[in-house]
Amino acid sequence: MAEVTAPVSAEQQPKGFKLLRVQDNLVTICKAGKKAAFLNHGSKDVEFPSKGNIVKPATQELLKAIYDTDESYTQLIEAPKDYKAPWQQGK
Amino acid sequence: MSVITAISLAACPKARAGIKTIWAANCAQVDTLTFNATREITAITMVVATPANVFKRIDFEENTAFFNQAKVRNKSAVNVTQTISFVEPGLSNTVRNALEDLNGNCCLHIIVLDNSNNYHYAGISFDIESEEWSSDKMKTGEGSSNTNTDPTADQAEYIETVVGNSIFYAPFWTLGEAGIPV
Repeated sequence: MAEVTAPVSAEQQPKGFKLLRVQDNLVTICKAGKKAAFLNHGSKDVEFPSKGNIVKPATQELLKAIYDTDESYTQLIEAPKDYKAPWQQGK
Repeated sequence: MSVITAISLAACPKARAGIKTIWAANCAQVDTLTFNATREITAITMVVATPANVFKRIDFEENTAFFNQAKVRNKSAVNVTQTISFVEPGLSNTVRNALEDLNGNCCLHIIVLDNSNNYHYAGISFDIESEEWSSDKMKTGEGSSNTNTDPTADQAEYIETVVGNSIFYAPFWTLGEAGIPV
């Protein structure tokens, strides 16, 4: 039988990328790469009928993908110390 | 047989008149807007406590809607009156009720898609010095429901406007249609 691992929210992870604002029922629509991304600021699933899906709590992978996309997302996400995003290269 | 040699695209400005679609939401549903260094909106944070908290889409007939931003200077201050005007052809209970719901909102945020595929975020003012934004309490203005008179020249239609006063022209929205929560 396959082992199912529950997603760990960014809030529950002490290290790595962190949401600057942690709050249930708050979802940010932004970009991760070239695609639109739904970023859940809480620790519970959020029903987002717009796209017919459930937005799960943010994972480290998603936070990193968003952070790497645009400098303005430093207003939403804090990166680990000494981390350099692609948009910081050469700065 | 003739041969057509392809030429490079010329750098004409994207300037086609008119708007195609708007998406409207009540101000209270929008928690935060994120701006980048070039003053464009790169993210929107929505309160999703109830399923209804999303933008409502309104599509228009071709060449029937516009988004006008009229700027005036009052001594040291600038004011931009943002007006969205559109025609809904035909009188129906569905459109009537949709317009009634739109008129029930006294603070709207509206994303406007123009015919040059630019997205404008109307209904807010963004202060570039403080990097703070605020809602402009944009709401419906004048309108009409008219059967008109001449079947050979006219149509029955609703005309609706949405109006707000902003600090400047509406900022651009960078997330495209995929990033609008509907």
